[in-house]
Amino acid sequence: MTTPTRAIQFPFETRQLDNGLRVILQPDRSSPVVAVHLMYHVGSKNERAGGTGFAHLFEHLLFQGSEHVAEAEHFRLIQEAGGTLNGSTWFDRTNYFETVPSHQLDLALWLEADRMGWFLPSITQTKLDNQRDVVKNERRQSYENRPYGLATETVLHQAFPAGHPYRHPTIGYMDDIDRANLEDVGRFFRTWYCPGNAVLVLCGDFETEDAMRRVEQFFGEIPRGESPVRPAAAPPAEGGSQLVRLEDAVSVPRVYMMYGAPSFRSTEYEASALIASVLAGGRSSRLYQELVYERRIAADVHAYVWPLEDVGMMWVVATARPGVSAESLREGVDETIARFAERPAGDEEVSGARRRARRQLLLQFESVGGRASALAHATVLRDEPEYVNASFDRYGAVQPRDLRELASRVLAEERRTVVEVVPNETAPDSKPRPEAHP
Amino acid sequence: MSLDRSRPPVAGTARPLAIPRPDRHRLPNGLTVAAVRRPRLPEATLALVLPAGADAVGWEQAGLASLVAKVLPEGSFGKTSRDMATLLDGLGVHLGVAVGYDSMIIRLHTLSGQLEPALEALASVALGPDFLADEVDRCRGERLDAIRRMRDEPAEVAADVVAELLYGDHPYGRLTRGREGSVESLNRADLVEFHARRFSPRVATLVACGDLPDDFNDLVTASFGAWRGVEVDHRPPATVREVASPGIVLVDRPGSGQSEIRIGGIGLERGDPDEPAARVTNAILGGLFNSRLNMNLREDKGWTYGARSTLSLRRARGPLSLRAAVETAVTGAAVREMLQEVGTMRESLPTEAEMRTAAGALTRSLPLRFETNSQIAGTIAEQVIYGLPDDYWSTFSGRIGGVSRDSVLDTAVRMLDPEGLAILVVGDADEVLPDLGKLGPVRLQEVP
Repeated sequence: MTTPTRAIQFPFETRQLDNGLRVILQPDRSSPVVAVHLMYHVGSKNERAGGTGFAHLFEHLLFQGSEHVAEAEHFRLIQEAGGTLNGSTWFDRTNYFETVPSHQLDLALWLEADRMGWFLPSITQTKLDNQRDVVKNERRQSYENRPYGLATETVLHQAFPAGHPYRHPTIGYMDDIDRANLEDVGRFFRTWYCPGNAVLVLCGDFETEDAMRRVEQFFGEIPRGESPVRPAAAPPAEGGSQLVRLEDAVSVPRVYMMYGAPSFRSTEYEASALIASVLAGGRSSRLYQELVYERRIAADVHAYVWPLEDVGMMWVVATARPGVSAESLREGVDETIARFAERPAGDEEVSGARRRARRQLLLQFESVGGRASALAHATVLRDEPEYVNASFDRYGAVQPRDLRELASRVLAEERRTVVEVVPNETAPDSKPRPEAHP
Repeated sequence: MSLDRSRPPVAGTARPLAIPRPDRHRLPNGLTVAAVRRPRLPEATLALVLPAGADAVGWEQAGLASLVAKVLPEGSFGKTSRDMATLLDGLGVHLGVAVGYDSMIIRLHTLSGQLEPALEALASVALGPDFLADEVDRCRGERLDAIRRMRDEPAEVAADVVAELLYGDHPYGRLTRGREGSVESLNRADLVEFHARRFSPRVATLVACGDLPDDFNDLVTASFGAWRGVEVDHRPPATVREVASPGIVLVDRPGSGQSEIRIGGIGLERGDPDEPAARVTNAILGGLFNSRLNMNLREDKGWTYGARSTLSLRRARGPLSLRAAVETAVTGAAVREMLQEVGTMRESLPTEAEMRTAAGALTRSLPLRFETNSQIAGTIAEQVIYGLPDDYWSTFSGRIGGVSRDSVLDTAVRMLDPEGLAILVVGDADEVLPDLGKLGPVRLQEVP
């Protein structure tokens, strides 16, 4: 017996400090833990030409202490208190977050406030040089020395024209990481790290008014600063570019396809996520059934959308079985997608995709950290914290016709960029070299 | 009120943590059901815990448990692979099978509206796999492809090689996925036999956590009540006391921009009296961001994105292993620094401050371990696998608090014999060999 899924509702309050800091408070007393999530509305898309990777390098520097917090103390204090923490940088935003036992809320607030208000006096050339080396090693470990690691950035480079904010990867290019200097650090901080460009989310075991008093106490005296002038939204991917073939130290080919799709702000975003789910979201999905089970030309296939502010991207990534060429695999994907247009997703497929999407939302919302992140993203990227509650219903309301209509627009070759990664034939020991970056 | 920002705020009083205790129930066929009701969100996690881990077979059959896990959802009770996929995807559930050395856990996450059919699907996958020859062949082929693809990943190569350096032909000497040779030799009969011998209600536990109906036990009976099975011999594998192949090994990977370093010794088994001290030792050496390895190699030298150590507590003695991926040019120097940190752990007492950080991180983090349904199901599964008492977590802090600086030193000496460590580098031999050779004789080895 199955029953309809009941609605969910996480109550929250939205406040704003005099200095412009927006605060979202979502009390939940069910576990003695609290999440503090601070999201700044700046990411790699705000970097200057020749300065790629800077927003991410800067995120690293923010863990190197501030005026009242000694180097390496941020991590130590949170971990010693039993908490977890991290930061991350993406195209549109940079976030810093802690989950701590709830009686340690002040500790997390003190640390975040100190680096928002008192960061610059503590930064030194030595810290910058050290974290530059760490980040270069991050690029080596996660991209260059990893099979297929440069495919995604090659797709972006192909899909977007010179100067486009989404054209370069968040990790940045080595030469640009080398160029970063202390002057850039000061300018970047003053431009983007003011209270008015940030959202602070508290989620978990607290009482709203008490928590708000604490937020005011720690963040209230940080000066307003000058709010950044936001650039206009970037135009969508052009697509239709020539296929790029990338050689890499891999044993089998993999095909990366990226379609221009609705952004996270679009009313069609949920439908776009469900298209990806019907295409490759489970073992019964179209691509999985046809390419992995029936034709046995793919080892695996994935499809997903990126929740971005200005442009949307839908990715389809398939790995070949040994002996299958990149070309046959690409044609196989194309044929399945063409059949998807002829025989659109039916009620059963869409109903399963809706359930999977809502189930995944619950997995994220279940923890205070996941819910705080969702609230921060909804506020920063959509200016709509209510989206966290609404998204559950919106996924539930998507109909087969919504997918049909959207798929016919999105899954078109002229909106697509393709990169094939193929085993290195010429020089087995050479690393992939995407074409020269500006 | 003016605020003193010069020091960390004083923490308030911790709210007591209520560690969830499951309602236990036993079906007539022996299946134990451990359920925790948490109705706040319309979802539930199920976990069927089975004594069917990778340690159940020898190295010749390495990968068998993992292959069984892969084939389980590919057709049951006459339903085809496609039928099963359509059923599971239509319900919107996630079904995943996790194979460790100690156990196999079939996990299912579902919206609570679909709990009843989800439970039936879980039972079907676990109890009635048909292991059709064609599905077994396909899955084995896919697994072999995946194993071959792993040779492209330096971190995967390192994990595979270091396991054998540490344990030789013990079950822990292979990764749970096995190797090309062992997986090629597996056939349908092996899978059928493994399933018949290891999947039995007498030794299985179904853990459930989340939005469960009042009649949950009745639903379990309806799905699992007809299950019958044999007694299972589930003794742990033999205890290994010394590293099988100590010394320095280099796997050549020409053109690597980084070297993957692994340094390993034999640690403890779960439940060893030194376990609390070993946990503190690991936290000081490399278990936390501020541990010695990371502070040295990353935050001081900038040689790596991260260096850490892991203490693997299993039913028999698992490894204590150190790892880092470092820039090629500093490979020899990085191995030297890591060995020096090992030496320091063995030779001098940790500081009081280090003890505070380690104990704090291990004990004050308990509320974060019991937040989500899947975490709670995971800790209950852990309790089942290792036979932990019901008060294990409520007394955990006391055990960690009782660890002295001297016992950390003693435990480091016990686990990290400098002459008996396996030291592995996966990287560009031409670049790293000259420096590495200065640390001792280097054996060159191929990617397995």
